[in-house]
Amino acid sequence: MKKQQNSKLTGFLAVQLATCGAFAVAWLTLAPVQAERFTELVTGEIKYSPPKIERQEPLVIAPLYDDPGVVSDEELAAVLVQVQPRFPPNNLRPNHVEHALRTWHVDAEFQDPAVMSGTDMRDLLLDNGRFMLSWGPDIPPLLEDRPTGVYVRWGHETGASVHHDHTLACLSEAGVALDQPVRSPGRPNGTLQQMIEQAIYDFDLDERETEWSAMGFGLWLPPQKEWVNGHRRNLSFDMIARRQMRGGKTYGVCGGTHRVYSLMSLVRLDDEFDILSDEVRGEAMDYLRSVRDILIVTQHEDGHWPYNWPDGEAALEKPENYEAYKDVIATGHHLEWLAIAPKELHPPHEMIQKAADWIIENTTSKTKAEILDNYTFYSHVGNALSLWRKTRAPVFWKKWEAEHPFQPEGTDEVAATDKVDQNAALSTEAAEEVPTDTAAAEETTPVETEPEAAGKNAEKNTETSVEPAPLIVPPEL
Amino acid sequence: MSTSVTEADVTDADISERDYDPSIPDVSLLEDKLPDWFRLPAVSAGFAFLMGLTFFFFDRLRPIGHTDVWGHLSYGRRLWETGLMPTTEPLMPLSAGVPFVNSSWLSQLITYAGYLVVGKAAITFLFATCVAGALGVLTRRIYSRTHSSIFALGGFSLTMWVEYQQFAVQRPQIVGFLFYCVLLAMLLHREWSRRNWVIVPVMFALWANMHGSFIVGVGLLGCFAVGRAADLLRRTGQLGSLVRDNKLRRLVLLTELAAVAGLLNPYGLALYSEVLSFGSNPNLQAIIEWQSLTLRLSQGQAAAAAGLILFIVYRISPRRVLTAEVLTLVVFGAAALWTSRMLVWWGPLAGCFAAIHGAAAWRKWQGLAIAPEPPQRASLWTVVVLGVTFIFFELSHVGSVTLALAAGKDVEKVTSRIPVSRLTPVVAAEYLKENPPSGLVFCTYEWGDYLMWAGPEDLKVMVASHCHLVPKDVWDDYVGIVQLQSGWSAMLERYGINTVVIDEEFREAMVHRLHEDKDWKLLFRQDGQAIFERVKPIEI
Repeated sequence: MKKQQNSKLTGFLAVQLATCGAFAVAWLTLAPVQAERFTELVTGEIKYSPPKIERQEPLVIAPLYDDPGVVSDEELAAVLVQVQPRFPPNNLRPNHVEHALRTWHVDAEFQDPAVMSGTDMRDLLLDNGRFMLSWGPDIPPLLEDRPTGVYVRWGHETGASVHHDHTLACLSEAGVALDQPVRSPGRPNGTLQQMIEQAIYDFDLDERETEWSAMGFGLWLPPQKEWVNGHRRNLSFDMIARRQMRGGKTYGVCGGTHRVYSLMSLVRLDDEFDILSDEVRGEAMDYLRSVRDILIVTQHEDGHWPYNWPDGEAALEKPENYEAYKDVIATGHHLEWLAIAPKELHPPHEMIQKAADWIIENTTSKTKAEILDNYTFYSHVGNALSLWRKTRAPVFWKKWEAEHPFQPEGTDEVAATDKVDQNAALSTEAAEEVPTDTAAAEETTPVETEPEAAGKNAEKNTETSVEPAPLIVPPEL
Repeated sequence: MSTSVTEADVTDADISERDYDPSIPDVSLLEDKLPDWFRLPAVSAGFAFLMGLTFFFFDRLRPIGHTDVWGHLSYGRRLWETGLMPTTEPLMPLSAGVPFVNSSWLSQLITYAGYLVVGKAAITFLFATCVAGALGVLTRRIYSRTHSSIFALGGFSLTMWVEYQQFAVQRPQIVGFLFYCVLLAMLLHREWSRRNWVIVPVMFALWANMHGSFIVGVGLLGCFAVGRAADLLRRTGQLGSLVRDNKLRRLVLLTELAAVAGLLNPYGLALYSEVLSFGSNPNLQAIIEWQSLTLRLSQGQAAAAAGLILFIVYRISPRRVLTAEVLTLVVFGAAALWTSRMLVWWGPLAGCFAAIHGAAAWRKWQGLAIAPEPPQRASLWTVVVLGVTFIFFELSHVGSVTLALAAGKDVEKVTSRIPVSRLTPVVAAEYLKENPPSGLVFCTYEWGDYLMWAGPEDLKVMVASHCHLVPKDVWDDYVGIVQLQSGWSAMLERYGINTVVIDEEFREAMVHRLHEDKDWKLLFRQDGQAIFERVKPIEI
């Protein structure tokens, strides 16, 4: 009897072991993503392994054309001086800073102390302490510490970035490195990598705006083509490219132009990293050709492209009534993507020239206050025109300031800005008169009102401005 | 009371009194030489007829639903054609990349294989067989516990009443229901069979590949094990009794075996993650059948009535109430209140327990024996049961198809007569097949499945009824469009939708708005189905 009971007990225990063994084997054979999901379900804690980022610096999509016919040095300088990040220190809107940073990059330095440097702008976005100095303690921080990384608060709340992943895209375009410290409340020792990981985690392909995520991922993830987001959805650059092409062209940020820019960027990245399938690349090129065809039939006599460009010829026949700045959005943004597009995707060159002429005139004719009101849109103009000279705004500006030193006048900000306007006179003769060598530039550099800043700028001015080697090889032209 | 006469009952005197014609065999003298296992009680014939009627009703009289049945068939078709188990959702373009754990792959494959042989008749046949089989197993068990055909019929009726809404659509869940009823019948059996050690794991291995509800079966076994342990503790007050009790040990082992057998599927442990997290998918909140059970729903009223019956029966029942009964009724009842789709697992419990306790109360009231004599069994009734089964088989659509095949007639003609729900977009699908639309098509999620199944080969629908596979943003936008929320028209444009397929009966407002919208034109309209096309299509 006892022997029988013992054997039953042994059998029972054996089954327990077998059961545990079966589940252990099942666990071990789970794919990593499934194992994470199971663990998450059992423990209630988020388990997510972001894709590995194989680079320390973001990719740069090199401009393709140095075309003084589109914009001359003097015109570019006149435009750039307009879009310098001359923001009031309090309540600095992240959206403005982001736009300025992507145009001016993290290495931007200005002789005018009233203008924020690239590092200042970067720190406002990545250092909660700096953000609080501008916004005070009552506004929620821009950065939030999350188990899956550093989240950027976005939306229409005060002090938030406006678009999802816009901060990341701008920091990436500005050349901020992967190990750049990010200080959020609760995580003072984070890095940009954690911000990227959070963006990958919470990205949904079908959210309203995907343009910025497309840019951010495109500049960091290649040569990877596929990854998994926080919902365990398999994503790929093919899907993101198709997402940029989904639906009516009018939808999307800035009249749908950002989708075009992001798509063009993905195509350029595909040139080097083969991140798109042939089928999707073909679709993307067809899409971009269709945009080109629309641009050909929608340009106004004065050179601008209308905001309702997706309407095609109807945009000219029945122009819509909207605020004038919207034409700046359309024209500036189109010039921006065209600067990185192969010639096959260009409208006739004279159209580009006309558009550039119009936007230069429009930008330079505005007051600083008017520019500041629509800074985000005008910043694209600065970036677009820099790209058309196959350069970046900070590189050009450094060279320009070396030849046309900043002349401060008075102590108030407005006076100083006006002086900058004078410095950036469009006269070619005036430009030629300015000494071109660095030593001469140093001689003419005025004494700064802030000694520390002056010292920094003077030091920078001794460096030779060198165009960075493009990480993306331009296609055959 | 049985009326059959056995050999022993007939005396020589009886024989001599008759007009004896030696050329005519006296059936009363025939000896039943068939084995015991082949013999059935007379009541079986009645139950066979009842199940035959049930089968007939669900096979011949109920049309094929217009919703997910076609989606399942589409997944089955894809499996059949590719031979591959997709890891991401393969049919809805907006769900590309969404992880897909297809817990019903085997049911889908079997149904599609059946479809290839007998067309739509396979759907109704398999479904009706499962319903009749499940209720038959349950009714038989009630009868074996009560020896009362009336209470067996009562248990059947109560279960059917509660479950009726759940049987509205032919879907793989019915296989899970069948397995569930078989398991419940096993657990309610007074005697333990060694065959159960094989039957249960095999059943769970099949169940896990045919429908995700196998986890409910594991839960049922677990409840019975916990219930048994509670009963033992209540009676003995000793923990040692838990170790010594054979029944408890069997239940625990069976639960474990079932859980392990559930791992025998293409996804392994991932299937557990899928089924355990399925109910928390936010998209399901928009689907009525996944919302809480309320008295506004007819099945809620049926469940409330069943609950009242149970309450009364338990109050008057002389039987000991097992903790497992209470536990299962409470656990599955709470689950049904949480989401009405879970009612399907509560109905059989209610039917069985109400009938078993009701019969006991009735016997006590009537002063009848607690354990009546078991009915006499004869192979005659087995033959009758087989005959009834055959008749109902021949009455089924599959029966008609087999007859047509035997007669060399056109099978297509027979299957085309099988009714589909009047809400099925048959004519719209035919139109689209002849005039394939470009790009994404908007239709209600209920129609997405049929359009994918019967429409043009590469038809891209925005959503279909497997809504748990639709990304939340897309689903929210779909709901916004279908409810004509602000910006619904722009949403159609955002998704690049150039074609809208919509029913005029339930989406009258949308049809009206599209009629009025100059950007849209009516392309097709018939049988309450309308197709609109964008006047100036969005470039794809």
